[in-house]
Amino acid sequence: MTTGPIPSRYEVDDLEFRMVAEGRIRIWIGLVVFSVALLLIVLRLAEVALFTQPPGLGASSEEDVVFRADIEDRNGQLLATTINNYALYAKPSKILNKREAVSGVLSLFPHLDEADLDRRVRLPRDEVRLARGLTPTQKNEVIASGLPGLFTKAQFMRSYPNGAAASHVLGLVDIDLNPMSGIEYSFNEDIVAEDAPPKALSIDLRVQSVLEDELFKTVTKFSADTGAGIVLDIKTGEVLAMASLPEYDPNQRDTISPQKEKNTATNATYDLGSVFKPLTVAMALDRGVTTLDEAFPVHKPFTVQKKLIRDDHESKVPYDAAHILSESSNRGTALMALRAGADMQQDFFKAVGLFDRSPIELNGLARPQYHKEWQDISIVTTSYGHGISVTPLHLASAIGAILNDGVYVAPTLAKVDSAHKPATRRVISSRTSKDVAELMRFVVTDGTGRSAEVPGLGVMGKTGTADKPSVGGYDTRRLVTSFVGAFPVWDPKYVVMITLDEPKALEETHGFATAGWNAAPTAGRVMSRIAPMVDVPVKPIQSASSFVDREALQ
Amino acid sequence: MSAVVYQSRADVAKRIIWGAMILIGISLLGVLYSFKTMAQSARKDVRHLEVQIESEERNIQLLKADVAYLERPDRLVEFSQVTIVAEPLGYKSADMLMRVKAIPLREGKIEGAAP
Repeated sequence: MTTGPIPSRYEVDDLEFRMVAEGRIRIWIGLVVFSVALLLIVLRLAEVALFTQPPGLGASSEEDVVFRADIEDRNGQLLATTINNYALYAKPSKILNKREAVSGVLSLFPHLDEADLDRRVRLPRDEVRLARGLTPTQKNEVIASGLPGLFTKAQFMRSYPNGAAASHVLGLVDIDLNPMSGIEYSFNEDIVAEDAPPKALSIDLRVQSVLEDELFKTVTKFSADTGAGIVLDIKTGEVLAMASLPEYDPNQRDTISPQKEKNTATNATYDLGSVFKPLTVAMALDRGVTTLDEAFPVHKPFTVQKKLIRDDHESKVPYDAAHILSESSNRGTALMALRAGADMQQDFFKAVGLFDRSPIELNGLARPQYHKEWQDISIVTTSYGHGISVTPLHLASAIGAILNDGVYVAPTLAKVDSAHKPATRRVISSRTSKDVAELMRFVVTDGTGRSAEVPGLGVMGKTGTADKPSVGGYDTRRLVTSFVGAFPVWDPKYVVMITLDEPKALEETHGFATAGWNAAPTAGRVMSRIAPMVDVPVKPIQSASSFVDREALQ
Repeated sequence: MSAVVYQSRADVAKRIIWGAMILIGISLLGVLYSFKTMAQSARKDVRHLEVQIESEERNIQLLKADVAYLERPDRLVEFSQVTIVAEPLGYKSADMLMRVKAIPLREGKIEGAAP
């Protein structure tokens, strides 16, 4: 039974209408909610798909790009290059299971220390290095392991394919390729510049090899402490070769000691002795102090400030300039220098670069050492290379200036071209230069430098044997022997300088360890071997002694 | 028929337009996604090529170092002395070469030599 009134037909329609309307509203609300949810999902999917990069989960690979241009010799031979290997790193914060990571690394690199690894992966740092020097295969194994928090970095390593050759010139970089010495240091800006071309040096690898070979043989044979050698193109100032013994292999850093690292051609000074005499003679001839014909009374005892000046080869007759050089007379150059005076001598030595550091592109260059007060005894001893300590490069450059038509050219290790030309200055006249070249030729044909002669090359030169400074004077048992040579005499272009520190006498040298027995023949062999390389032809040459009238002197 | 059941043409058109816009939007999204994935794979290809180029450049560098090592003058001297018993070139060799060069060739031999 119904208790209420029965709704009319219109009232039933209204009720149905209301129910349908409410249903529609619910449907719309549902649709909107569904659409919004769908839209959010679509937007999120779109964001993920379109704008998100997938994160790296496992081991990955990164690299720190460090660019260093190659270094080449003057003919394009590779001297230094950069190659890469890999290092294993860990991000401790990303490693969830440290023990698993350590055992994973140990399974790949059993030689690593477990305790050290364990300590490293727990360090509170963004990243720690676990191992160096990984090969590409090992790197791929690390990535394939998928261990979280581990990654490899490509690292760059400086390689010197020629081993110890020119190592003192090239220098070193540290483990992060920061320059430390040599060309690597001096030309660093050129080398690290973006997309820099290979750095071309003045060095000729063939000449360098010959110089090192001959120097090594001599140093070994005479048990010398150290040895230095230089081949210099005196017309351009380019150093074609520079060797220093003992040497080191820059690829084997563990074997490098401070003694080996020292470049004795530029970073050590010596009293070089009689190799200074051509400079004194050149000064005296050029400045009008003497002439080629004047004979000096070297046969008479000669004392300066109570010090007796001795000659190793005592003469019974006066000597002219040619014989002062060929017989290496201390008295002769001393007499010339005294007549020239301190000012002229100092000015001249300064002009040929003997009072300043060599202007070459290397670091750690030695500063010349000489008397502070220039007394008569200083003038005398300096005239024959005692009491003044310079590097072998100083002397090679100075002699180069004398023989290069009288023009000093600053030595350089960069290949000379239109963009790079070393500074030059005239120090003596062209005439004097030719005269001194003839005199130095005479030393080789008729004097103390005969063992340096190479038939057909027109070798000029001068020997020098100096006692080493000691407490209270000089130690006559410890010698520094040198030979400065040049060729060819018809157009002097190359200077070869050899210096040996404390060579020992041998039975076959009759107990002598002087320059004529070791430095001079070494220089001769170097000149003989490099002449074809530098395109110097062999010519029939008349003896230089033809212009020296020995009999007239008698 | 009541007005509640039957919709006006304008409503229908509006719904169709909305539906079409949603479809177009989804289609555009799909197209954008496909372009994006294409660009991504192209970028991956480029990166892959770059990595390959870098790798090859490094290999070339390594080979250059190898060549330089093999061409070391001291190594060549030793090699030539052992294999062909050659002596280092010196002034004597140069002198001999000059003497050989100085020998005049017989006239006509060179020009008429090749039959």
